[in-house]
Amino acid sequence: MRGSIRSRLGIRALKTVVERKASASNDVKSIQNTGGSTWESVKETIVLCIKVSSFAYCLNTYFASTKMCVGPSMLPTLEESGSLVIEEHISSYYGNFKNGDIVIAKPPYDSQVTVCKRICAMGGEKAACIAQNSSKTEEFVVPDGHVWLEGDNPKNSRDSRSYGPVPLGLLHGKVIFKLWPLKNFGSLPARSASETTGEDASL
Amino acid sequence: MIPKRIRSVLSWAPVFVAVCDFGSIRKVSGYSMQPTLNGDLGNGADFVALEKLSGRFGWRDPERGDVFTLRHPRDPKKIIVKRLIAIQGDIVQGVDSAEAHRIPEGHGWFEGDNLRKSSDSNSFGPVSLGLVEGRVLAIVWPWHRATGLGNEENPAYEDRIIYRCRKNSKASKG
Repeated sequence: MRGSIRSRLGIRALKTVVERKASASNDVKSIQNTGGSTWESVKETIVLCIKVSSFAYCLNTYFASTKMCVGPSMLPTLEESGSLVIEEHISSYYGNFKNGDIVIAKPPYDSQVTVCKRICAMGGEKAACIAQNSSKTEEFVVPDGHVWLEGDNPKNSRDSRSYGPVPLGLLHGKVIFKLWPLKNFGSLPARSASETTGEDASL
Repeated sequence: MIPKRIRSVLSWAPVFVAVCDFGSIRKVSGYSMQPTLNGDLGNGADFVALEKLSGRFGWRDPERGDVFTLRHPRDPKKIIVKRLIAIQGDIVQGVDSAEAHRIPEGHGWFEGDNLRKSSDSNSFGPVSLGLVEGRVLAIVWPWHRATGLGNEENPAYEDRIIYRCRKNSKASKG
């Protein structure tokens, strides 16, 4: 048993040595015919481009990306003219969103756009909301696997109050950092009590 | 130092992941789409080819009869495969209840072909199209079951769709 492992290791070591030698000789060759094999270098460049762009794509899709959030719906927290934020996508795989997080999500009514909203209630929690067109408060329990999204500017936001709870599968990522504008550079503040009531939000 | 072979595999891994985001092959499990998918489950599950670009970029409007994979609305980690029965604007009647559902904007009514063993829109209502992951193009394995999946409209649904907002592009041509 031990012998076989050792011999395997030996074979592997031999292989690596051979490969190294081969690559070294290749290097020598490529140095020798620079200018001659343009096709080889073009091919190498194309392969490198494919690798680099797919690495960037994976980073952008599965790790973190920047996003421009435009619109009045998150007004005290994010600018109306547009804020550049970093969103991370890892929490959408593990589903560790919590109440108060600012998230980027696809709205249920259109799969081609994204919106930036704050989670106001998780599945199983009660969401109390003032309906947009009437003044009476409705209260109900958000179903499992859904979240209740609301903008920080309740007077000017199309959110769960109009389209209902949003399934967790529509959440893209969590906003963790604000890059632009520079005067508000930094991590995002948690929702304050005055904002939740929406009493002193002026338009 | 990392061996060269592992390094080359690692450098190709993002390419593989990116390609899988455009289209991939997946194993179907469960009974809910019998007899279209997994019709011969005793001899092994079906493998299907998926296409994920058109839904993401909106190149092609979903049509009644298409088979999609989608994230379960109540559990985002679970991926289910269902047939789109009605599109936005349609009015559809549930299987068990006489209740008529109007499909909201950007939603669809998804059902399994095997209605008795399927948890679908009849239990969780219309599903947002943002949850759609990919469109099933064909069964690729096992060989004797390999076929393309068009958007066949099952006559069993026809009378349950009370109102059609627009016709399928195929139907309007014919």
